[in-house]
Amino acid sequence: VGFGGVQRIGLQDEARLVARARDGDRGAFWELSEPEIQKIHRLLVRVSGRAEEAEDLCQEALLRALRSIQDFRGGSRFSTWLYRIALNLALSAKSARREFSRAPELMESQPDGTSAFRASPIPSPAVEAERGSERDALRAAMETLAPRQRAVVTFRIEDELPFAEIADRMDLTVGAVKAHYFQATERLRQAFARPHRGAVR
Amino acid sequence: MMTCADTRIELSAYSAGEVSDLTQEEVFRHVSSCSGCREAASALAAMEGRMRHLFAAAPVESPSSLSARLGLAIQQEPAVGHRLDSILRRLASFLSLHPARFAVAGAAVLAMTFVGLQLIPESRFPNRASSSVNRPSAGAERPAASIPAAEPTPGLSADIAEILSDPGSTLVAYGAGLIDPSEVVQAVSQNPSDRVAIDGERDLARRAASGELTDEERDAVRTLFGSDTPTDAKKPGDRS
Repeated sequence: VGFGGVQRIGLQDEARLVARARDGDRGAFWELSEPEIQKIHRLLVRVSGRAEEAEDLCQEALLRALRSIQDFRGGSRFSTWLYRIALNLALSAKSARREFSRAPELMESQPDGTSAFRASPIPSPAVEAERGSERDALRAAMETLAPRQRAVVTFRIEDELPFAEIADRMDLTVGAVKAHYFQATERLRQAFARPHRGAVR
Repeated sequence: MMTCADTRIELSAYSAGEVSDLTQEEVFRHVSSCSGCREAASALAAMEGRMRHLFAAAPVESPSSLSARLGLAIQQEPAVGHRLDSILRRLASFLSLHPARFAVAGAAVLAMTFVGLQLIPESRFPNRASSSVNRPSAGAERPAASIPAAEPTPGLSADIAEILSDPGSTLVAYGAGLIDPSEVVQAVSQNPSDRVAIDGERDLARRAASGELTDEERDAVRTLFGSDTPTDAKKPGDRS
């Protein structure tokens, strides 16, 4: 295991491997999935915010794909299908739901109809960035987002993917992805603009 | 004219050139005349820049053990259903990995007959692969157990090359006695998928040896090879 370099599988090879995987060939399944593992793991870390949990989710996603390979009809790339499974899993995970429900509590409505951050013990990304901890700044920024928004932001900003590709991976319309992204950017913009705690900028 | 809300949703796609010509034009016209949306556009660009910087500064490093862990998990996941191909592959390498323990010779000949009957029509008609889900059960197509053992099925050798051109079939060919061990070593070294398969079969072989096959697997063995197969003598009931 872990053999071979990570390489992009051509469409024809992919079709052959999928046919074999559907016939119960786990080696073929592995050839299809292995090149995606790191990318999927990274997405799951970004969405769940927890490295160990992301590993578990990654494993569960792969096993789920293995068990339901008969449902894969080749309507998309195998990797796209794997992303959808992994994301569905991450979005329905307990921790994601917990954080999802927590995120809105960070916001409060303002008289002018916009929303702003509540005074909250959670450090703002700006504070963390100024402390020199980019990892913490990123975590603080991502924590202001709902899990689905985290996925969109990761795809769009870190992976620099077009909206159409993101929509494919998330099984959403392009319009829905743009709307999620817009909401995410609004939250992030406010998070970064949030006044410094206990210090004057 | 687009509203501010419509415009702002399109800003990211607009600046990346991902919108239609019409939208491009409308966003441009709106932004040209709306200072609020111009500010929103530069705020968005700044925010994207900051996030890009943070992502780059805090990359996710997947542990090197992750791939190994997932590979193992995939091997150990119990099989679902009894697809004939899957069973054949497993049996073929099962037999090949334990030549001394069981009476392989007889079973391998049966397997060869079987693999010949099952694989060759499919290799000649690749389009059948997708419809193979509904292939009749093994029992329905099973040749009488009394098929003469000595002669390979006519035409089989002509198809060996084609079988071997499919990496996943190396084990089937080996298990059926179509190629010798040195060829397997060579084929497997070129085909990582077969290495995974072999590791998976070790587990199957071990469980069979200690009588831990599932009912499903044992039924599959019976269906394919009749009741007097080596594995049949090893069912859990015999241990007590």
